[in-house]
Amino acid sequence: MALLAVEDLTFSYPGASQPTLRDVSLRVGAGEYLCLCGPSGCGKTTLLRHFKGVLAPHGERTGRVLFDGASLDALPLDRQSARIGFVMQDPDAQIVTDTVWHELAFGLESLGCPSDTMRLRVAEMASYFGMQEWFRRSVHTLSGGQKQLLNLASIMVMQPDVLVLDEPTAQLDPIAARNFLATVHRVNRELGCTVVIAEHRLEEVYACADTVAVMEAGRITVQGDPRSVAAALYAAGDAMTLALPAPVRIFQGVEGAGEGRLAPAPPALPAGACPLTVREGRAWLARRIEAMPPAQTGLAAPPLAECPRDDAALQASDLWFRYGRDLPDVLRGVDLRIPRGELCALVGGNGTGKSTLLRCLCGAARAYRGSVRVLGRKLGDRRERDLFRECMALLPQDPQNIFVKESVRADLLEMLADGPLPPEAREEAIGEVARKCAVEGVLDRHPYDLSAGELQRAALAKVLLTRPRILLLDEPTKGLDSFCKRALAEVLRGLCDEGAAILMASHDVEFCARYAQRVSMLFDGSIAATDSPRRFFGGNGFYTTAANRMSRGLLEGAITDEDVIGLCRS
Amino acid sequence: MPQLKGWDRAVWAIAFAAAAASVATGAVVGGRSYVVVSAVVVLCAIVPCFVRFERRRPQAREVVMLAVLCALAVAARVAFVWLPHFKPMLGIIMIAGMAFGASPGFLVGSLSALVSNFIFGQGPWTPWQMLAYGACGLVFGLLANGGYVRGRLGAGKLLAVSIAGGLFVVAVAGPILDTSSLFFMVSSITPEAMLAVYGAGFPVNLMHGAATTVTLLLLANPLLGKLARVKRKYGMF
Amino acid sequence: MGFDSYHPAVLLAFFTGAIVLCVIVQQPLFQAAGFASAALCLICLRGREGWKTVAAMLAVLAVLACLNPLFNTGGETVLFRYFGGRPYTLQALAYGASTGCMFATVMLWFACYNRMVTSDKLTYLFGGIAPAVTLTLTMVLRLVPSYQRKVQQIVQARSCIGKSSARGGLRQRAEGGALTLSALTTWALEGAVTTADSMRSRGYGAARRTSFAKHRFGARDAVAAAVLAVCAAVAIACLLGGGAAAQYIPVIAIPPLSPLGWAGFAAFLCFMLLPSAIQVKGDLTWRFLRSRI
Repeated sequence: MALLAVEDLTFSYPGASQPTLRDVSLRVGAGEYLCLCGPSGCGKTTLLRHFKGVLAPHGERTGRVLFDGASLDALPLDRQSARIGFVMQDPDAQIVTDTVWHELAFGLESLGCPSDTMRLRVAEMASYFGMQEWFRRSVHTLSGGQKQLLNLASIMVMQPDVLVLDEPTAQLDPIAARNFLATVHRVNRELGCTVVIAEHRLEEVYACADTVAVMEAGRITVQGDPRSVAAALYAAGDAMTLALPAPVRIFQGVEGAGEGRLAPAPPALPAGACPLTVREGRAWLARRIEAMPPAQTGLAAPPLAECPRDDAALQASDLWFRYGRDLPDVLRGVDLRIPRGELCALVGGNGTGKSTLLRCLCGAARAYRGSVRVLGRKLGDRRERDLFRECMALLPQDPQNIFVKESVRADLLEMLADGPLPPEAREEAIGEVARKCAVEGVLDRHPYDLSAGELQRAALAKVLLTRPRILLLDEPTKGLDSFCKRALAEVLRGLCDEGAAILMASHDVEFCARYAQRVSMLFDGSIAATDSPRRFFGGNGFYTTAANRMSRGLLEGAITDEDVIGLCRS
Repeated sequence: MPQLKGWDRAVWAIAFAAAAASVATGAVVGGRSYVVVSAVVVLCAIVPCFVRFERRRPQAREVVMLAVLCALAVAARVAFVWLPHFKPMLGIIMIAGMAFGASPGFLVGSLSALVSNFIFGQGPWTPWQMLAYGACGLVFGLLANGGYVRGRLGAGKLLAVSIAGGLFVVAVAGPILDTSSLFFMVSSITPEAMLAVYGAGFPVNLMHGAATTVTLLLLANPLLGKLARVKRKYGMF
Repeated sequence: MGFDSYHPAVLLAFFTGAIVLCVIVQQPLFQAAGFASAALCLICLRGREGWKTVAAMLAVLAVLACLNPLFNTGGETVLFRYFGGRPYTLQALAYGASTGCMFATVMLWFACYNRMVTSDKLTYLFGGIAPAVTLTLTMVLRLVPSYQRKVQQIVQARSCIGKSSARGGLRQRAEGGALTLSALTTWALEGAVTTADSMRSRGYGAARRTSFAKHRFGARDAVAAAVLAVCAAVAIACLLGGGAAAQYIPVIAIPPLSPLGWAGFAAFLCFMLLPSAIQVKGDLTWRFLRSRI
């Protein structure tokens, strides 16, 4: 019997013209791991909230939600709180109290749990999640990843039967996200806790899931085990195939009809053959190459053209920076040249100083040694006003931080407020930049009501109003799904074609490999290497793309899915 | 809610009796016991408001909203680091009062005072500060209860409220705070001593009042608009 | 090890008692003992920093003493006259010193209190009686650092697109600050909705709250509480019985201590020295243990 079931659920928000959920039916068995995916705005969150009575949105609802065979509405509040756990997106706002131990105890305190039981349960979960070290810390000293783990742990102390997670890693960096999702998988495997997760990072969860359900426009379109869902998506030519893990995409690209191509049904592939992980992918690829050796087994990777000294849009030489007199150096002699018209990526682990370097490059942080030349002139020689007008701009990691007004339009207007443009021309400038960034539709919305992708593009629009010739981006793909990433890449490409120089700090290896023209790695405070993506990622063993890890030793210099597919088909 | 009213009355009666008893004890003990008595009386004025909040079994959203307003009041100073000696806290407390009414206003004020003392250190002034800051929230909350303030303010009202806010700080909230110095630092309360203590406090209160007026002028409308939206949307208080 | 590891109830009882007793008592010997104990306690806690605070408080004491005769003209022995005849008397000076000493002692006790009774102890203590208020306090204490960080993020992010708040005249700075604060408010209210959801989904309001017992009231807490109670009772009996009487105005009259007075003084001293004694004992034990390792 299903532990959690939805039967013919249709739901519409008050005043909405059409329902957000239509005839949704879904069954989750006890101990199952269900992954719910779909483009943003398809109704994932609305559906997940129906699994938890207190969070269910108000509106018109038909159909039933069953828990353990009985209607969820009939389950009393205390039982429901304990048995169904819900983890939300924002790691920070979910935390209620000020210390780790208190947060762990909060749920049990609310349920009036006796003191001894509480101590034991908290101690047990803190040990399970490896939190002893930070048990007494204040929550504001934790990193985003630690906060989200704390949120998970403080729900697990209530020993729930079901764990519902709504895009829990959207605001985490890839390493913390991977760690978090691995923990969720462990909870499912070791504690037998049923997991229902909405996630756009399919590379991490797709292979873990027992069942995958794909949602589109309020309906569940495909549902089943991961391999058959992948096959069905490809057969239907669905756009969701973009988001599938690299091994699946490569397999389908090579063996199948290719993505989005409505070819006559390909010769039926055995569904079990589709690899889900890099390991399975390597095994499959090795067999495939042996059976049908491709004509070409490698892609040439010519060395990167050195950026001439006087042509660099942005040049840093020997930059040293520390946050305080007695604090350690964050940057130790950074040398970097960014040519005009190129998209350059700055990669490196957490806390290696990528954001600090960006801030030093735009003068927001002052390096204590070394110099920065912006468009040929020294940074120190420019007045702050001139620097940020028609010259340089930095888009911060959290794009929300640059929005201070009540609508996107008002925020964009703010950028022109003390500029030379007459009022009519301002509207026109806004229209133009909005078109360029594909945010015309959201100009009159509140910045906080936008989706992550829209917000990122709106922020870009705001920054572009200063007409920067050098654009610095800090983690521009954080929290974006594959569709939004593609849209962002197109905007960035357009800017480069107009001659702008772009430097983006990013953890997103796949994005950098696909779209950047040069990649620099920051390690231990200085630039360890700068090269073309093909040479850079082709040479790395761990810090590289899934496609490269899959094809290493079998194909030469293939770093994107398309590279591998192309070589295999040659 | 008649039941609550009865409770309320009982709590206030107990508090009043406690205050009277402490005054009587002070009179018997004599000496400097009036310093302790004054603090007890102040606490007796504060505690019933908290008891009332506690009795109501507030919902999650009320607790969160109260916490958010207090934290905004305490943290607001950081946004104005570029302006030396600019303290926006009382202005924010008044705005909270105007948005949510007298009783929540008092809680926001007194809790903000308590929390800021957790950060900067508690002292003998803590109860007095809780009373003074609570009074700011309470009095400006009365404006909302009386229907004078509803959502955003017109230009005239904004100016009036801002000036009133500044004057209230100079004439009421500041002097309440100075009274704690009067009790703790002066051996006998003579007219000269009062003149000296309140006189010394005046320039500080004037600065504080000016900051409050500026805060209200700049922030009353934006914040009232946002708070009204949240109140409508989630039905708080 | 030290007194701060005792149960919060004991700590709170001690500080309440110490502050009330030190405020009420006017007898110079008692007052000096109170000041010295508070100073000792602070020095045990903070070392060099403690010495600095004690020195500053002595200066405050002196200033308050000297100022008092300006406001209080009572007293028989006129030291000098000013402003055409206004007297500056010895008795007022002495009474001022007494008040100054009271103020300085209270300030020193509060300095110790702020080190020992941290917010989590206070919220733990009142968690049972006032669950909603203490929960609110806990939440505020969590939100304040997070808001401060958010303000810094907003300011930094905006300075990198040419909207620095540090620029311009007073008016522009105030407006910049207001804009930042208004953005902070939007963000905070947005988060509040999530926090409220998170509380409800973890059962807030489903039952009467209990609180996580981080501290246990053990045997040593009981002993300390008993010692404090007995000492306080004796000291109060002595005060009410006139064993520590002192008068400053119009004439200074401080009778020598009676047997009751001495008993009261012993109890008073015992009460005040308890934290320092526990601290010193802890240090000695530690040293002893280390020498055995």
